[in-house]
Amino acid sequence: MMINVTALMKVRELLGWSSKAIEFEGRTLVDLLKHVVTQDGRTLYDVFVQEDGTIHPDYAVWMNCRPIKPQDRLEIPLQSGDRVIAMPVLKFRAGG
Amino acid sequence: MARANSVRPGRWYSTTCKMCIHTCALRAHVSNKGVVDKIEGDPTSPSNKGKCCVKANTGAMRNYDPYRLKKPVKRTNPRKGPGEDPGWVEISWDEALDLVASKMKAMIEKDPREFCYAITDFHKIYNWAWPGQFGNANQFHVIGTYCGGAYHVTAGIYNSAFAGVGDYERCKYWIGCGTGDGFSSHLHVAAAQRMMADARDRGMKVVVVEPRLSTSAAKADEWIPIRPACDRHFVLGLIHTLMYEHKIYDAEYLKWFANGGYLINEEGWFHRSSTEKALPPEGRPEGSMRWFRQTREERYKPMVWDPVDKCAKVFDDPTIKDIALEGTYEVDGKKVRPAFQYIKDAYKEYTPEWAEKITTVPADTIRRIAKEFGEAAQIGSSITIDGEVYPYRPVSFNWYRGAQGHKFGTMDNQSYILLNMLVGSYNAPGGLLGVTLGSPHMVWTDEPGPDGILDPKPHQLHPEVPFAWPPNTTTLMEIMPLGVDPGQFNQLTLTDPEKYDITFKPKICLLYHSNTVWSNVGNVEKWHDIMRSFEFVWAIELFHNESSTFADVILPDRTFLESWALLMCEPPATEGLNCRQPVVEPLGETRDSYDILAEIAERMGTLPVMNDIYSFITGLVNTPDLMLDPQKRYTHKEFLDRCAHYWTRSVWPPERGIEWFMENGHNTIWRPPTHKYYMSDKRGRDMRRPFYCEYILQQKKHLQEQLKNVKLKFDWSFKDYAAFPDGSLSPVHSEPPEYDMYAITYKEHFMNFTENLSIPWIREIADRDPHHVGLIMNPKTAKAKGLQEGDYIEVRSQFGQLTGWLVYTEGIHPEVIGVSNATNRTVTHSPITRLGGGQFNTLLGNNFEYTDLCTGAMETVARVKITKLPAPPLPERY
Repeated sequence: MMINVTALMKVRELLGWSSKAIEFEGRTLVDLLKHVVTQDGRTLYDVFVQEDGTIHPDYAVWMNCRPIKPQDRLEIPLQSGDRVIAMPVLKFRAGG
Repeated sequence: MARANSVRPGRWYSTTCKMCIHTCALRAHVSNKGVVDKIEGDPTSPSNKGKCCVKANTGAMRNYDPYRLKKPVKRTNPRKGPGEDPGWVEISWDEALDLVASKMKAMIEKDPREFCYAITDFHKIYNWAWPGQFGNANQFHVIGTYCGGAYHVTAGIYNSAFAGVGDYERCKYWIGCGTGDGFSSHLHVAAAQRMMADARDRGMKVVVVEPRLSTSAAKADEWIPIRPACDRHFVLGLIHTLMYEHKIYDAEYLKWFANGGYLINEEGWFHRSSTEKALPPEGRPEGSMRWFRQTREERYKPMVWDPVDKCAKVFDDPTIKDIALEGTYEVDGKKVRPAFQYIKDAYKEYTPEWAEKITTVPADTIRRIAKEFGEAAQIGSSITIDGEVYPYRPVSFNWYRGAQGHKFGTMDNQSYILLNMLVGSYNAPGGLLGVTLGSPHMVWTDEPGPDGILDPKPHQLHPEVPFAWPPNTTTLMEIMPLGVDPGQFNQLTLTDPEKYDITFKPKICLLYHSNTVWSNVGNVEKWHDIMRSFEFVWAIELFHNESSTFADVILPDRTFLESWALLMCEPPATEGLNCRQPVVEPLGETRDSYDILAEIAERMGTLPVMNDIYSFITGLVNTPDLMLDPQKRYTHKEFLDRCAHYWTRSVWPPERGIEWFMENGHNTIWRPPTHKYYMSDKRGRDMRRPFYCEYILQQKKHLQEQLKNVKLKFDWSFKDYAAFPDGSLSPVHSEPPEYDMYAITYKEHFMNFTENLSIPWIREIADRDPHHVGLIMNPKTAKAKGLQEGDYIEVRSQFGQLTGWLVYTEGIHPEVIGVSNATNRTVTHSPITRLGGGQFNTLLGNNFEYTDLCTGAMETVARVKITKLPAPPLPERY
């Protein structure tokens, strides 16, 4: 299936690219994270996922405009055309 | 289009106001000499329909204010504070930007937490995320917790919305409590005033509950004066009366569109099935991703009691024939009650007589208003809109800052929501509608969440701050999982960092359209000390003010007549985008704030990160063809052109670019019913509203577990977390008896937001309104204290004091002294603004006791004593 992956900020630097349509044979978000390789030879799974299977608090994954929450399982089934954003956690506060 | 009798030869430009938070579509007339000489509402806008308020009219006065900052300035006097001349000298943009960028770069390389910022430019909301480059959440302003700290959080939890307001189009009975909705403040005033007028023409009744005869109270059918900081108790009296005396409530709504039938155990938690878990569905469900179903957390389903089959069933059991709202049952050997019964039992004591003692509103009035409100709800009636049948509940209880800017503000909001839910008017045609922010990229749209309830979205404007201790923020957001930037806590944490385990020291401060010294609460001298403690302060401003007088560098921004923006029209009545464009050449060497921030990022070497963040928060990231190139510095116009394409392509088609908006002004439409009313059979049943909000209890429990391993050096209360509101009283009601008056502050629409008193027309209006020229007091009270109109008085609280001239008005509760925000300033660029007297916020308590520790909302009422002072010379008038 074809998944659109966008990498932002530090993750863009890790991967060396911003946005790609990735063709792969996996089934779930976990498969995708294990499929995408950083410039230093690790996978996004290595970078993003902690030992207990949750996303590291310094990173965030969004899928089709929705955040993957810390309590969410990552074995989320993917469909062709899904859009995944991988980025550091965004921290800012302001206004109301 | 020009009107020959009102303007000189020239041409009209479409644009959008920025004289307050709202986004009225305007047209500005520019003479052939390039001068704005007339501003009026854009008649093509379905929102403000050619109307605008006095502030918009005065836009040209602000633009041509001779005291505007027109070049970057640098201070030469290192001593800071009132009475010190900063010794401003003009410098070049190159020098100013280099200075800021070098200071910022050095700070980031050392510890980004040493940066704090106060950004309150609501019209360039993407600029709020600029500090995200540094992973920094040190908010140094209080705007959120002063106005809507608890309000927006609860709107997000209960309604996945940013705000809420009555359905002007269909409402018949409107209660306004601590809000100027429809008259003078809150949501899109110029549009709301017209809609309110139309509704009054239809015969809608308006009841206003406030301590002061405000604009809305003066125009209402009935004004009910109330003691400050106890609006919730008035509403609990209404709810009691509806439940116990009138027995008016919308059972169908509570059963099927809310969780009034969920069984609650004696410990206050949902009674859950011991066998049926909420499991992720196989594959991918249609429509949304339904994230709640992907949770790894094992969660058993809440249960309801089916009175027909006489047994408990899980909430989504297809065999449910009816749902019990009342009674006590035994399930799995445990005593349980439906949420409605549970709350009803807890409210038995909240009689009108109980409420009268607290609020001073007569019990008979509470009974009558409850009856009128309940009967006007027309429970059981329906309405067909665009072929779809909806319940019709034409009543609305509306509220904002005055009714919930208090200790226990979370519970204040919960009580008002509960009242609307009780009669089924929450999101029904005619009722209280959610004001959603409406971008497809944003997650703040209603979606099914856990337990068959709407997915709660408390963080409406920025990401939540995860738990951590020691904290990484000076606002202690790490221990407020539902909080909104309690900027007032900066005074505590920066004054005594050790007590709060703050292991870093903010050294650089950005003030961007934010007068934090004036707006923040607590002793003002302490704020001055904190401002002095920063090594470097830089500001983006139009004028000098109380805060920017502490700056080392000020970068001059452009006015709305000189700059760009693309803004969403405030719902619920309309939606779409309004465009702001420069209609005149900028004065002096000012620059657009977006361009300023982009250039600083470029000089710091962080532009790629800034562009990524801006792509993310605007949604451009979803469209590779529109996403910002990380390496390129875009102009504000270029950036907005991409936003225009994305937002129209994805939300408000047809796709348009900025050039189209420059010509046409806006693409605003009347909001379709499917975006306003969320409770049709199709949209409501799978996301009940939480009449009983176990989610807040879960948040409390989770935080308590996280804090088990932390030894806080201060007391942190959890009393503000509740599944439903109770009668807890703000500490202002139990202060020492010598503080025998309540002090409140207020604005009218012409005073909304900032720098008003320096505008001649507004100064003139304020000077002719008795409520805005002095400290207002009921003459009976004044006489009992031996005071007379014109006396010079001191108003002193436990925390601070101010002075002013006493003005009589019958239009204020006898226990209250009113302090308009228009009486004076302490620093001003303008000779027409009165100086002296002090500021209201210094009267307020800035501590945990006076703060709602669930959301960070603060108590905005003070207890004070009044003393007559020798009269100083009369202040100079212009």
